[in-house]
Amino acid sequence: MSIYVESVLTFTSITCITVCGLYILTGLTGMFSLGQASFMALGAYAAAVLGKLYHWPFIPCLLVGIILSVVTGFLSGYPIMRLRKEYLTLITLCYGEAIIALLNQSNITGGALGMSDIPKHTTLIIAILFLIFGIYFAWCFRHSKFGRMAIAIKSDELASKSMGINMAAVKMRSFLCAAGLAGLAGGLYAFYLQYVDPSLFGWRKSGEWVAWVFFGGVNSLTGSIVATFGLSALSQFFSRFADYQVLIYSAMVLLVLNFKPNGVFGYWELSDLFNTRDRRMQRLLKEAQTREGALKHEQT
Amino acid sequence: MAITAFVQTLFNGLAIGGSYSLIAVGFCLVYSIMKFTNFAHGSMISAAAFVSYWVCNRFNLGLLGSLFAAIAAGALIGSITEFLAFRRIEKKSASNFYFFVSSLTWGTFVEQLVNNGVGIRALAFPKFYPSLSLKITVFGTKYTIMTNYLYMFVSAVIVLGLLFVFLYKTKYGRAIRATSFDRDTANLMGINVAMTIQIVFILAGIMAGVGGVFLGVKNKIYAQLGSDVVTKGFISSVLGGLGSVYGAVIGAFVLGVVEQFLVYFVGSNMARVVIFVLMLVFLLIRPQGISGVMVKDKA
Repeated sequence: MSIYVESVLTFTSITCITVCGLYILTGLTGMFSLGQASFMALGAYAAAVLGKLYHWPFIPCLLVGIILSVVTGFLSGYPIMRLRKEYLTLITLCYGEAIIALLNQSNITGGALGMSDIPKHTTLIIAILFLIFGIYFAWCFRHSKFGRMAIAIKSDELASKSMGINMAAVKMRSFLCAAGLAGLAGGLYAFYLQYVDPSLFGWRKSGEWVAWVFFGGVNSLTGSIVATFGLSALSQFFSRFADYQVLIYSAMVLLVLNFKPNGVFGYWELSDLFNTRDRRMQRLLKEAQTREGALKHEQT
Repeated sequence: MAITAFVQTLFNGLAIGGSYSLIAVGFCLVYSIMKFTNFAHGSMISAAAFVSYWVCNRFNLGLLGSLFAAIAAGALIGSITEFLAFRRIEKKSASNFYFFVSSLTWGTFVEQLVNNGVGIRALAFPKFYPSLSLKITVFGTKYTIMTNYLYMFVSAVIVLGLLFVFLYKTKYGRAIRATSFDRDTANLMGINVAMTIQIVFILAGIMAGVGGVFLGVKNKIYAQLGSDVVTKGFISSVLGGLGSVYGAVIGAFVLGVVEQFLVYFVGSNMARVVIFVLMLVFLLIRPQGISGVMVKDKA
């Protein structure tokens, strides 16, 4: 395998780890974060500072990155978890701006120039192993009690509240899982690229990921991952035509949203091939959705 | 902090707050009626500013001409945005997060179009004002005021005034307020909801156009111009109470003044961090915002 292909695959796998978090946050709970990239920035800078200046080993650096993301995520999410879901989008957007400004300002992290010569720990194998862990994590989350609560909140906040679900806690849990996974991905990213600077982690990146997830189908983990793999790899291969490529993929996403709102994969999961119980659950979900749609149609 | 610096910072804050309020109101009108955060607003600002720049250069217009060009462009872009990005989703009455993703993607699309048009270099409007700053003497102390800020403040106040007249004194304004309160009932009462939504997007586009020209004069025109400042619009409307137009205006002026003072004391980078922390604390204490209006789901 050429070095080029290997690097594209590694970056894509690392992005997919963040997308697993996005699946938990957006696909299951129905909230949007435009701060995923800045959680990644925290993870990356934690890895960079500890790994380069203090010569910490690989795993502890990653752990510190995850903890940092989760703690700051908790602090910024705490005031708004009882409010409407839109607040999370706005707060994470501002959080991202604040983190970037902080990184630009601080002396330890080299300001706007960033840091280079970070030791290289991540390889393709390691990235894929962590990606498998991320997918497994999202899968388990979905099939746990928490995942079902999250799905309930996504479809109807008011109803799930009256069923006794602690809404703020469930939302917070999903948000922190997403933040933690992004932090992990950030650490891997820094250890692979060996270089970080604040401009790598703007909110447009987070927005791009959200669009990718919707392209593949926000309700399906398989769809999210496959779409991310496809679109992210495409965008890296065709980075020479960046100007047109962005136009094309945003037009594609718009078309999918308008004509097939559940994305290319809809509710389909890879495991549906083997698992009949799951297929039943999916059929039920779909029926519930059509009923909801019919109700809404009646209302208007 | 000397008194001169204080007054000057206060005025700069108010002027910048004026431009923020235009952004915040445009964003907030869409939010109040569609109940989603319109991330395409930033790209509408850049696109309107870019078209206005082009028209202004082509026909050698002054400030007023460019403003009118921007208003026309903004209205057009607003209505195209509604038609291409939201009309179909709206008809399906889909969950509001499809609107959000659609706005995000549409924003990226328009921003990239502008980017391809502008190229790498930032464009600058021709010189509109005879001098960049005015010197005013009040009570024996000299103040220096940026001409652009003065015009920015005055036109923001005029545009906002006209908007409030439109919202509270005309039939269409009443339709907008009714639709934002309860869309289904408004529909039953014979209000043409589709047209009302179209009008709201046109209004948002006009606000974006006016804001875009002044921001373009202040910062030059580049594709990310809009999305760089649109965060301020979001913060203002969160401060004012999401969905309240009055609140958004007040929030924007408060934000502008606080931000200028923070820039004076701690520098522009730390100002963003401090504003974020202040916003979190504010939301913790008063989540319903300054205006005290909260949008709630109805059963």
